[in-house]
This record gives sequence, C-alpha cells and structure tokens, in this order.
Amino acid sequence: MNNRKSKVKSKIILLIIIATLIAIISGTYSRYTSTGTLNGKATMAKWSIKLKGDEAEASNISSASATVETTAQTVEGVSNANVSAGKIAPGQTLVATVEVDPSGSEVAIDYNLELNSISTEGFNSTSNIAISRVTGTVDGGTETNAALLGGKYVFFESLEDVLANKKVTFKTYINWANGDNVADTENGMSVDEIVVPIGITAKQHLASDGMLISVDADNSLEEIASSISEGNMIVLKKDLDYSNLTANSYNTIQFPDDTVLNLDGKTITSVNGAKLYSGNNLKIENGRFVGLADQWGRTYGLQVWNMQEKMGNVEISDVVVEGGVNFYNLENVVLKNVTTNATNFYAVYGNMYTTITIESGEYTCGDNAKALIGYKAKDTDGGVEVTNPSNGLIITGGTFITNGKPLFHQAADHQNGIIYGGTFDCDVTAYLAPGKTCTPNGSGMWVVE
Amino acid sequence: MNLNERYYISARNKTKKRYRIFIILVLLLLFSLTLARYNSTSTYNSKMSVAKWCIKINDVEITQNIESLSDEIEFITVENKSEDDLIKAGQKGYFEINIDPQYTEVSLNYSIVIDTSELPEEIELTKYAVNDFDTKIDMPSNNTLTGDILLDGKTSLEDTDAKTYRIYWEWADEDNIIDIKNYKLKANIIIKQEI
Repeated sequence: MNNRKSKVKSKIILLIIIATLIAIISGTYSRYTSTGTLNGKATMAKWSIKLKGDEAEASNISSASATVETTAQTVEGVSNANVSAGKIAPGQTLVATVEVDPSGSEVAIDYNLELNSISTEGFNSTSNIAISRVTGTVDGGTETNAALLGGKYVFFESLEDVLANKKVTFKTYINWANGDNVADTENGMSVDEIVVPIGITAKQHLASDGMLISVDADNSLEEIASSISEGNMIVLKKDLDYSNLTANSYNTIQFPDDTVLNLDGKTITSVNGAKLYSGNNLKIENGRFVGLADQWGRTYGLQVWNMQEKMGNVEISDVVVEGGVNFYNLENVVLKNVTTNATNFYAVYGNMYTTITIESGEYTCGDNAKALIGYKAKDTDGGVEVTNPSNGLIITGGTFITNGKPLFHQAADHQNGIIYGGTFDCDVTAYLAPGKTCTPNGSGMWVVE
Repeated sequence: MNLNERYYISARNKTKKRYRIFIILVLLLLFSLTLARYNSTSTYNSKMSVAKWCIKINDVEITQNIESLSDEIEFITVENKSEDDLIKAGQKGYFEINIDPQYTEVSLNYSIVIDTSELPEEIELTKYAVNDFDTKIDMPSNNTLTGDILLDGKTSLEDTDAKTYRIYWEWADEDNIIDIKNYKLKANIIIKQEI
C-alpha cells in the first residue's frame, strides 16, 4: 500500500514538473515579437584599367587579359649615327611607350613591369636583349624612374591621381647588349623584326604594401623623407656623397614612422657627424656606408640619432659600414648581418638611453681602435645625469674580432654588454648571461652558446 | 572495447574533425584575404626593326664576321704576262679585295690581313690603293689593312660605300727554280659593327 501511494506521489510530482516546464517554455514564446532585416550597404570601389599602344583605341585589361602592340622608337635626344634610326642593333637602345588609363578606378595602384621571353621565329635568343630602364610619367608630372625590385620595375600611382583620371605613360628602354657575336650577326642577317613582350600588371595598392620611392638623379633623400607619409620604402638608385659637408654639423634626415631605407646595394659616404638618420620604427638595409674622419679621427659611417623625444625600434640589416655605427637616444636598436669596423674609436657605440641588440654580423677592431664596442652607463640629459639601462647592450650572435683591444670600452661612465651568443677572438666569460658558456673552438675563437 | 569507449573515441574523433575543419576554414579565409585585391595583367608587344647586317666580299655573301678568302681572289698580271697565264718571275700585277656593305644599317670597321706564307717568297706586296687606283700607298710591313665604313646618319649603306682594295704585287726577276703549282694567297678579313 505504501509503495503504491509513493508511486502515485512520484507521478504527480513528475506531472507538476512537466507542466511547469511547459509553462516556462510557452512563456518564452508567448510574447509580442517583431522581426526585421537590416541591410548593410557598402559601395564598392571601382576598378578599370585600359592599356594603349599604337592602336587608336585603348584596350580594357581589367575585365580580360589583352595584348597591345607598340613600335619601339629611337630614344629622344640620343643620336647614334652608327645605327639606322629607329632600328635595334648591338649596343643600341630603343624605347617602347604605352599609356595606362586608370580612369574610373577608385584605388591607388602599383604597376609592375617585366620582360617576358622573346619568341620571334628565327631569332637567336642568345643575343642579350633586356630592359635597361623604365620610367613612368603621370599626366602633368615629371618622368620618374621606376624602381627595380625583385626583377620587376615598380611604379606607384596615388589614389589622388587615380581619382583625377590621370593616365600614366610608361617608357620601356630596351637595350641590345654587345655580346655574343655569332648570335648577334645571325640575327642581323636573318631577322627583320623582333617582338619584345613586356608584361604589365596593375594591382590595387594596399596600405600594408607601403610606397616605393626612388632616389635618383632628380631628387634627394632629404626632400623625399620630408615629403612622404608613414610606412613607405625609399630605394636608392644612386650613390650619395656627403663627403663635402662639415663634420659634426648634425644634418638630420628625419624619416616618418615605419620607413624602410633600402640602399639597393648603393653607397652613402659622409664625414663623421655630417649626416644623421632619425625615425621611429626605421629600417635601414641592403647597402654600404663609408665614414670619413672628423678632426678627432671619428669615422662613424652610419649614425642613427634622435635629438628630440626618445624613439623606438631601429633595425639595421645587411649593411657594410666602414668606420663604425653610432646610436643616440633610441629605444631598441637591432643589428642584423652588419659588417663594421672600429678605426680610431668603436665599431658599435651607443649612448643616451639607447638599447642595442647585436644579432649577427661581423665586428672588427682596427689597430688604433679604443675598443670594439662602447656603451655609456651614464649620460647627461639637459644638465641632469641619467643612467642608461644596465641591460642595454645585448649580444646574441655575430663574430667579434677585437685584435687584442677591449671588447667593451672600460671607463667609469661606460658599461659592459651581456652576451647570450656569438663567436669571439677572446674569452668573454666575464660577460656571459646566466646559463651561457664560452668555449674555445680550437681555431683560436671562443663560442658562446 | 565497450560501448562507452566506442562512444568516447567516436566523439573525440568528431571533435578533432571539427577542429581540423575550423583550422582549414581559417586558413582559407586568411589565404583569400592575402589575395583579395584588384589585379589586372596584360602584355604589350614592343616591335623593333632589326638593323640589317649585309656584307659581301668579292661578291661572296659573308655569314660570319671572320672569313678567310682564297679562291675568290684573282691574281691579275699586268707586266710580262705569259701566254700560259702562269705567274712567273719578272711579273707584276695586282689582286683586289672588295668589301660591299650595301643595305647594311650600321657602321662597321674592318681589317684585312694578307697571308702570303703560301706564296713563293720572292713575291712581294708593294703598294695598295683604295677605290682611287691612281693613288698608291706603300703596303704596311705586316700586310694588314684597316678602315671603317660609317653610316653617318644615313638609313643604310649604299653601293657607293663599298671599298675596293687593289693590292699590287711583284715577282723579282731572278733565276730561281721553283715548282709549278697552285700557290695560295689568303686574306683574313674581320668586319665588325662600329659600336
């Protein structure tokens, strides 16, 4: 009997629970509701590229790949009495002109141009025919060299110019180098005309691409640095010579944030202290600096200084610097694959709050050097003595040749660096980071790891 | 393996699969984002006329820039001609080398080296003349003649730009006995585009 009562009770409780649940569920559904749809509208930026060669009408290449033709001409103002006008021969350059019309596009554009394979029938391709130069002229502007990067000629058209429907005229200078006589003679005897195909790509420029600016005969590094916005790459197309400037005149080239200065294999020569480079998140890469001595024998070929607020993040990579590198008031300097030497002072010198990390490269002392590396412990900032970071100089890799000189300059206001890695021509146990070892490698060097 | 274990393994595999799909989707999204920009490619064909190279020497078309001529050079006797047309001691004469660059569209320079090593040593090259046969010039001791033919702004070289070298020889009248045979005179001619 009790069991039966208990079972009934359980069932009633279960029913109550179910009913409650149903009530709760129906309660959540039984209300006024209204549903609508929100349509987010965005207007798409347009894209329209037309290409025009010899034809009367331009071809629209934005919707389908098209090929246009252009007849190469004798370079204006360049006379060669030894080759029939308008003809190509060994040692001769002709120019092919096309016009790109981005009218209707609503984005900034990067143009890439490159030579494709010559497949003219009967042409002996051993003959060396190549692009020697590409220039771009935006309507109303001046003819500017396109930068050669990664085998392609690169030219940038700003959004402002695109929106103004400004066309770009590209001149492709095609040169037949004087090389293989057999192939050249064969072509001269048997080929009347060759067709040199140039690939051209127009692509939307993204902010992350940065802008490419060439420093060539018609402009200067200082002018460009002062005229551009953040996040661009400046490419040198010629050597720069500041050797006639006054030593220690501290002419500063101030780069906008996130600038990359790519020397593209070129050389910048300057007297110590005549040219300073400054910029936040500045990268300097791929070239050579030559330092000339001031009256005290200082020869720093590259000096990155900030004379105002402290700036952060400077990366120097793949450069050769004759005479040493010098840094002032920078938060985080990184040296990668830098080859430099100390002549009368130091290969690397840092002061005024600067922190430096040497990751790789080769650093060498000359006979008259004071030490391989100098790093200030104390400085004076506006008359007030300041203490620089005790861990402000870090070595994680590279090869260091002291030639018997001190690795770190020893003085009351200088301090040592901390070594995590690298190869040295002396025992550097005294400077090791915790947990690191310094071991002779049997070839006269010590390895830290 | 019991039911619970099978369920657990199956559920775990499903979770792993969902995870993998999610990662693939994220990767695809990132990949598409890197490619997501307007991009148009085309080609423009630059047509270039090739400057012609067209050289004949003694009416023979030259296919390379170095040519050695022998059969094309005819010895002409002007003094003491013999009835049998053989070249003999006591004779004088000349031979000609003609460089015809008609239709060539570049300037050129040339050198002519006369090789007499296979001639009787008694034969001597004495003088030469270029186009104007009244003006004779002493033959250089190294038997080498050089010159150029310039386009000088013209569209192409013409037949009037051809150069004919008349080179005079003499065989001293001596009583040397030599074999009668076909001796050879060779002219090594190098013609190059003037860069």
